[in-house]
Amino acid sequence: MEKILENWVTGITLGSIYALISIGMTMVYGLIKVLHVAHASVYVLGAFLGFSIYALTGNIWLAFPAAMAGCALVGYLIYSQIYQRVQDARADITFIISLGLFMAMADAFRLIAGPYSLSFSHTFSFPGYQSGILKITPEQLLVIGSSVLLMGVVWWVVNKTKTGLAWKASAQDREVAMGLGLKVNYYFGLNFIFGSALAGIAGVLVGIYYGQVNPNMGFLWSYKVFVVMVLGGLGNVLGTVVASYFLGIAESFTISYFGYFLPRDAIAFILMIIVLIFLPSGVMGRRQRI
Amino acid sequence: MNGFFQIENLSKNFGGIQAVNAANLRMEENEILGIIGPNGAGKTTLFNLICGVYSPGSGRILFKGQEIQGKKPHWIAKRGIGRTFQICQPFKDLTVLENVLVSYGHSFYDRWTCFGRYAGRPHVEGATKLLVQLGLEKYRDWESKDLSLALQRRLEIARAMALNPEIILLDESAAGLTYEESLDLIKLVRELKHRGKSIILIEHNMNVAMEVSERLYVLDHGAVIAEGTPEVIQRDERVINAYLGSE
Amino acid sequence: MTFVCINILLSLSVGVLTGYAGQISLGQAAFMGIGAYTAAFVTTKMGLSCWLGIPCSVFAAAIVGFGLGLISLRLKDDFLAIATMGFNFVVVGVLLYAPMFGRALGMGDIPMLSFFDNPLSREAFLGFCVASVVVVILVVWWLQRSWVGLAWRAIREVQEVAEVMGVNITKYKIFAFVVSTAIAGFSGYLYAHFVLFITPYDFVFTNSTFAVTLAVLGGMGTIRGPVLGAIILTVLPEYLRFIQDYRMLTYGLLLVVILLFQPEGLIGNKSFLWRHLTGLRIFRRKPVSVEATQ
Repeated sequence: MEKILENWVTGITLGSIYALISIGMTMVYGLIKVLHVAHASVYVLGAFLGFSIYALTGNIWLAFPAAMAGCALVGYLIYSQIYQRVQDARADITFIISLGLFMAMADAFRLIAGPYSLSFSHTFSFPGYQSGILKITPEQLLVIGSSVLLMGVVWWVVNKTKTGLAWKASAQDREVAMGLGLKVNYYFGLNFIFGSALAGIAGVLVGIYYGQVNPNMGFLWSYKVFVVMVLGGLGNVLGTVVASYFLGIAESFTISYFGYFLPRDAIAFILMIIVLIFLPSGVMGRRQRI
Repeated sequence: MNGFFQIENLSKNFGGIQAVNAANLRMEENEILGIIGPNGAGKTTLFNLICGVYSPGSGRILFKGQEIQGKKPHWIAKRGIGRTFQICQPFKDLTVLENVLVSYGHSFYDRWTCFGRYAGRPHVEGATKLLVQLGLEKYRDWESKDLSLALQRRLEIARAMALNPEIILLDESAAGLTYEESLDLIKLVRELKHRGKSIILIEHNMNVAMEVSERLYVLDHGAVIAEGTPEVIQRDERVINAYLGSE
Repeated sequence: MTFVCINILLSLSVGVLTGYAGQISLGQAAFMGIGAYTAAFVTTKMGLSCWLGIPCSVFAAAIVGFGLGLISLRLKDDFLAIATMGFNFVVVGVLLYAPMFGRALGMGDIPMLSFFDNPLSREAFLGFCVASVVVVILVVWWLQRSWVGLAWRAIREVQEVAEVMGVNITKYKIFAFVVSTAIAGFSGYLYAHFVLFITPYDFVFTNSTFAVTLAVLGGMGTIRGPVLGAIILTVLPEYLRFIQDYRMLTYGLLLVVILLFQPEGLIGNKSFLWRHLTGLRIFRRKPVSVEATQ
């Protein structure tokens, strides 16, 4: 019984992390229809920034805003310098550009910070939660708590602010939105900033949770983010969140009970390919209207 | 019912929107048929159904007695139905000649002949003859994206013609053309008829539609609301209401 | 030098699929792996002649490529890209876990190509590779001159319109995958008989992006493009040793910069360099005669 609860907690924690990373990417997809792979690199950047600030100042709580700010800036740069230039290119070309950027950034991290993991540990002053056999570590508490808080923020922004409305309008039909006088590029930029900041926080959280940062972090999570996005419905924030928790919990239980018959990433991708094949034509890219 | 071309009770629904609603249409060989109707009436959807891009929900399309609804577009193209598109879609990176060669080679693609040179002398000559017929031979080696709109429309027609079709579907070929250019288009359509083709044209340009069509069908909200010669249609109240009402 | 040939083949396989038919594949390394492992299996585990590996590798890769082609019919553009990427992971995963392929340790003791028990010298092997490259280039050149090539280019442009113009896009897309993966598989065969020891890590996804970089650099949509790209990116790291450590960074940046600013590649059909080269007197071909009527 204790093991089951432990798996649930781990699963929810994992799911929270997936959600934080995926939300940014799925929002970007919903708006500009681009699979922003480089988002995973932004997330790694957040982890490293947070780590650096912590190493410099010893203050863990400073790490978060530092990561947010840095990632927001980089995210905006990526949008303005790259995606804005290739707005009308084919989707696969844009994807390859994003992929190239992702790989370049990952290598850059390796060159700057070294190929090994850097220890990122911090003992928190607040305790975990323990009630009977249910045990939640302080780190897990932090992750789950911040995720819930942040997702609340996301929900509020998307549903209750003018910005969120602009996003929804532009996602529906960009040209109509522009025609109505909406400064579409401005809102797209905001979206990138918002999503990237989220990714930055996720990076710091992951670093703290696993006690380390390393340049290959992005690789591990990027493919899972794809799976989550596809399962949750591309551009669908709520679906992505649900899928994140689903994957987190499922993974937690399967790791604990079964071995792997294939490496984790292979299994995740098989699942994704199957889903992609059987999804309705909405996933078949933009069919040319003739 | 055995005629040249019929559409029987054709319907197509897109997630709740009835794009085509129990449409009926009949065409004799070598006729020029016009299809008009307010925006969104389902005209282009009808063309897409005819050439196989969509499968109908119900109903039949018969071409020379054979059912063609739901078949693949390339099969229908080879059967003898060619079309142009509302928004010009030439193969941008290909030259004008190559654009025409794509459909010109329709009979080669599915046999071992597909490994033959596409730029072989007989093919180039044949395709160039088509370009001459449409006044495009001067632009033969131009990249198709460099053509003006009127020329691109003619290229689309040339492409459709290269299928050696019996029926040609023209989707708003007069859109965006000047007065002189649309007169040229009318001349061209009559020339096509003279060569034995049957033509169905979708037109928003009323002058062209009324001038060149022998018979007209009027679509509104996916259904055929009127049918007849241009004189009859012009006076038909339902048609007038459909156009005015949709403003 | 031999690697140049192998990489040329790999690069051409991307060129055929993406440059001509417009289908993206981020899984070419997997097909190279299939070819390599088949070659290794045929010689080490089955004890057959190493030359039998040629049809076996090519065939194995092509069969799997056929399957991928079928999958590709349901997906377009960026989704095809991630699906092929996932496919690469799956293949590598299978190779890592399958006992008959040696799991993570891979397969070794692959014999060199030999003629009646006399192993080919390095020069002879290189000659064989060069000959193979020439043959493949001829095949690709033939295909792009034929109706097949025209059909592929039409599909790359606007596939829905191509279909309405009489092109059976299903057949041609699958054919593109089959040809492309067969070439990649053959490159794997050569690789196996060259390095004589292969592991799954030789064929990971990052190598697929390497393959794409090769083709993109030179210019997809041509034959000269992928060839040049392969030559540059194989030879340059030899001369600029320090680049070896910055490989991923370089390839990533190359992809980004080229696709942003010169997507036709270095010597692709409309690239800056090519237009200027063909503008030069010595490269100018006889103008095609066009009737100046009307």
